[in-house]
Amino acid sequence: MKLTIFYSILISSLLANAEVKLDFKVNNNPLTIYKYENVRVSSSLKCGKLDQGLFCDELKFLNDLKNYKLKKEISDGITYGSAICNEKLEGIIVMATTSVGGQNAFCKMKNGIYVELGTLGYYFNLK
Amino acid sequence: MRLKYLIILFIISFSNLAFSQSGSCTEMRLDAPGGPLEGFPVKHQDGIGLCDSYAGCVVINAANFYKYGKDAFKNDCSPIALAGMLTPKINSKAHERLTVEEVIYYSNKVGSCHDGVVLEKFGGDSTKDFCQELKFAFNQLKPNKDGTAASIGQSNQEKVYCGIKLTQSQSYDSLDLVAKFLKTKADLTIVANELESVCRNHTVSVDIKDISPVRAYNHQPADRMKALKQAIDSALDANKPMPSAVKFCLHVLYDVNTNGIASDGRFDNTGCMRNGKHGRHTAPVIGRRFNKKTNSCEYLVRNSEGTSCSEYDKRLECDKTLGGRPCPAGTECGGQVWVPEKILLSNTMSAVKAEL
Repeated sequence: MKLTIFYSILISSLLANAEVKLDFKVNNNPLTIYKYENVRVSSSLKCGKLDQGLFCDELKFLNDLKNYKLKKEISDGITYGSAICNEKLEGIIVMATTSVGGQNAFCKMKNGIYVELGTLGYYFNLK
Repeated sequence: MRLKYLIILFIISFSNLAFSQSGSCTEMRLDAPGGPLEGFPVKHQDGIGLCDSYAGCVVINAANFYKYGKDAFKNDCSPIALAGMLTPKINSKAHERLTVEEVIYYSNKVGSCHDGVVLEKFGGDSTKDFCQELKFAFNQLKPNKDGTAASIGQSNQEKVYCGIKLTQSQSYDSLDLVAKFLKTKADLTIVANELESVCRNHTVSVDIKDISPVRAYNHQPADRMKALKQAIDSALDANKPMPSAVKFCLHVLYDVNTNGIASDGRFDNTGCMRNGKHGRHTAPVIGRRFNKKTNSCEYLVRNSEGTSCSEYDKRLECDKTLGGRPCPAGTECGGQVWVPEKILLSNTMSAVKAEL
């Protein structure tokens, strides 16, 4: 019984950090996004447990977002992810669509990696 | 023996009915198969302050379903077209964004323009492309490139569109870049004219009989939540169930402990903005359920911030289904959250419903 519970927890933990591929399109070009519990990025970075701070170099900046102060207050309807992409990362916001027509927006950073705006907002709010 | 079974069956049926209707919380969702929002995707307003247009379009799409059936999907309402065409027509509210009532009212008068056509014309998959182009062009004209306000002209007739303040009904020689983009003189009126031109052959009429806003500040604090709930529920429980658009303190989706309404029932510097985060926001309520675990009624809020719930408070349940059905493999379905009614209503300034 105890062993079953132990394995259930172990499997749940592994699944929580499992990498899931999501297909999007940007201007009709395919974009593959790798989804972890709180992170959606374009490249399969094999960073391990992303949500526990074990970031690979390309995503280390996410941990620093919580200390970042936006230069301007955001106005109604503007999200933190959008503001951070424009102001801190100097990235380009791109819209991606799913196979069923849903939309999500990503920040295309200077290094070409796409990070979901919601992911940026999530780490910014970890204060 | 058979009678005994019938009696038991009757008791079970009756008790289920009584339970599911406790507190007017019968389960329903408008994006379920056969519902007025089936197939309409969750959109992303992409950092553009047009939430009222996005919420208004969800209401318009639902209304169009009852008029056009499944063909309504071919006429998926364009939030950016509505905002672009309507903004210059509202002269009395300089510096203010559109309200969802204005969006629905205007659309009811002139029809709703097909989103696909607008996106194809102005920016492929993204409304943001259109706004980015516009913003870029205006930023070229400014001495201070702070990314938001275009300081052009001296007029006090400024309107906010795509997060930019545009000056209406004046022409400027220096707006060549915008002129190039729009193929004509740059001015908000010209933007509107351009959108009207695109929409001319791609607009369908909308039949909404009345628009009823219920505002928190018109009710005593003790009655506010009841009045707002009644407005939302009456839309969901109508013969032709409809979404209602709620204006609320956005921060509540990020922290359920937010209490953003000021004591006078308004959003101001002592209300929603008191939290120092996020601002006012409008989104449609498209469903309702009773959560047995928390023993509370919850509303399904369709936000216009895309298909993930990454940013939202983890205490809110993200709806990752496709209208209640499993999401296809490799696709992201989400962006809608179940919010306990007490949490939503205590942060809501108004609920607007459209009657058919």
